[in-house]
Amino acid sequence: MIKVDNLSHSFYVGKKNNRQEVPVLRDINLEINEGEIVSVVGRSGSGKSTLLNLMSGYIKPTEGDLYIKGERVTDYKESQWADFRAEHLGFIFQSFQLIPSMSAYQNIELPLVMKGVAEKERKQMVDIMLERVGLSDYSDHYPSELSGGQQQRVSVARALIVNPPIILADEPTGSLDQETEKELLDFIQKLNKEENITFVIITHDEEVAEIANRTIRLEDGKLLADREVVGK
Amino acid sequence: MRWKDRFNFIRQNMKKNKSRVFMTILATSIGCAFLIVLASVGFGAQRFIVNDIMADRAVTEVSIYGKEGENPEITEDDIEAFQEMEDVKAVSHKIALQNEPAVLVDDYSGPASVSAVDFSSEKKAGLNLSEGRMPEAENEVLIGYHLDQYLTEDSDPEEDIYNEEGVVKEEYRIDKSLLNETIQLEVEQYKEDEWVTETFPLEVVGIMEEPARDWRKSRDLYISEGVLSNIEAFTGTEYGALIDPAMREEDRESLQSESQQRTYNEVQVIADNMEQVESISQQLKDEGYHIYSVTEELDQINIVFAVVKTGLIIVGTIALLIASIGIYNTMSMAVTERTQDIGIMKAIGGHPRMIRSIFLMESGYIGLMGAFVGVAVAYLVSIGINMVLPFVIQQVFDQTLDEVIQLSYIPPYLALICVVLSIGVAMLSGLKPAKKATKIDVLSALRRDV
Repeated sequence: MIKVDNLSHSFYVGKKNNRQEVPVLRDINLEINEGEIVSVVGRSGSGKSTLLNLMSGYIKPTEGDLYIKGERVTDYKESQWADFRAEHLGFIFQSFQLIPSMSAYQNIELPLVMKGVAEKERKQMVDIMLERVGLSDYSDHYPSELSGGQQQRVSVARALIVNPPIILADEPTGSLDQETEKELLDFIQKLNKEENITFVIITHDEEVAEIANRTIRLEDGKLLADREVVGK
Repeated sequence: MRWKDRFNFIRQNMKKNKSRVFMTILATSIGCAFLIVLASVGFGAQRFIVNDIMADRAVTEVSIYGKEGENPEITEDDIEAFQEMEDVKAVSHKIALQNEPAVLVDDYSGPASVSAVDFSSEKKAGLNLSEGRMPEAENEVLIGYHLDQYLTEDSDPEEDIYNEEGVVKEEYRIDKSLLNETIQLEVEQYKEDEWVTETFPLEVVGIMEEPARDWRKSRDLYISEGVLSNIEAFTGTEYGALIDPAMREEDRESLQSESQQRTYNEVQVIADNMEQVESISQQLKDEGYHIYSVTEELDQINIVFAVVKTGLIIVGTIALLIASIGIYNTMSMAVTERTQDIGIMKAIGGHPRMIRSIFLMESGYIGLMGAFVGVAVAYLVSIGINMVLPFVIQQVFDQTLDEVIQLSYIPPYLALICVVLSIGVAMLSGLKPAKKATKIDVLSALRRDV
């Protein structure tokens, strides 16, 4: 599903004539299969967020190749990435990243609006999705009027609405209390089992790592360990 | 993204900062209104002058004053040649009586300017009657609309019987219509050392239309060429020319000698329609005729006004450009304010093209709204100017206006030009902010509140 081939990424700091390369990721090789839940762990600065940003197309790798769904996306232009994201990827963020001036309904609807789905069809899909995440009564609420857990559910609903085969999640439970965290993780497992959605989850939370089939550990930009969780 | 959704999206965005959007639209509409009102003065002046020129002359008319060569006068041969020309509807040709005859009706008498005309040509040329019919018999005539107002009874020469318009005061006028009356045309001539007069009875069968201009009075009397011949027989001179007793013998003889052909002193070629006037004019000029047509004058006037109007529109556009600075500001602010939203949209698959189009549409929408309001305001101002202007002229110059002067005139296409300009200028000024929006970095936008 996702193939990372000798991937390296560096930041550059300093002025033009005195530029210094700061490597963030070095020669990462890994393959993520369809239907897997992969957790990426590591201390801050280990490069796990950079790995996810590369997979999302927010930044370009310095070296190496990246394949998603068999397509080489390494050299994709911004507009190609936009179409690719809209078609194949769902995103969940630590701070939810909901648009504050839009209601829960409108936030979930947004990907469909951008895709050009007809209004009638949209309404059906969003209503079903609201029910699935248990927010039917909150459709008109704005993000500021929702709890953290509810906001994250809106964000999950927004990611799911276009039926992506892959969902990339950056610390999805980072802003949640234990109870809502468990709810979210159960939901992720359910989606994985029922709809065979592939999850890549960045976390430093052991409980999240527990639901994963595989855990990838990064340290100083290098792949330290890639092991299957026993019993999964 | 569907157009309808984009539009909704823009509306929602604009609602977030109503007062700012309102102010920007206001600035744009003031710019538009200024542009239109300024240009409308040019359009109004042009319309006024063009109407003025066309008021008493038909646009399809080409007047012929003479020709090059030994005999500058227009003869019957020329008239025939004109009639043969392509696209010529009619040739109006008149001969003025070179005499000062009086018109007598009952006890009333008055002056008239008498011309011999060919009634069938005149009818084709577009001569209109206010009453009656075209003459058929030889002694039937047409009279000008105001002829009866010049008739007066013999009265005390001390008394002032004329009013300020130059016609007989109402209390001294004849109190009946001259239509279907028999009038006497009294012609004088100096014969054998004494003044003799002869009257010719004429039947008035039609009254011509009032001249287009209010101040113009028509005391025309159109007679047939047959009557002219009768008058000539009496006077013994061509065109009834009056002989002055003080004249030298040779001059007198030249008046009395007969030439072969009649010549016409008022000749107009009427074209089928306005487009052909130019080609007819050119052809006549090439053949050596001295001509005048309204279109020649109009062409020049229109060129002058095209320059004036373009200048006014350019000056007005400056106002619009100033408004565009406001639009640029508003759009830049909007992009900055919505950086996070745009970042989120891009992060979940929003296409840069779509984001740019949304912002371009938003600035275009401001331009459109500004233009609509501006056009409406401009029309109101224009109506206001036209209403107040006569009053101002009356107060300042102490003059009343006979004609309705329309200082400001907004043709629909001027409003259209303004709408297009306004949207164009607005979208141009929205271009850079929109580009900025597409360049927003997803990561830095998302990290804002992390």
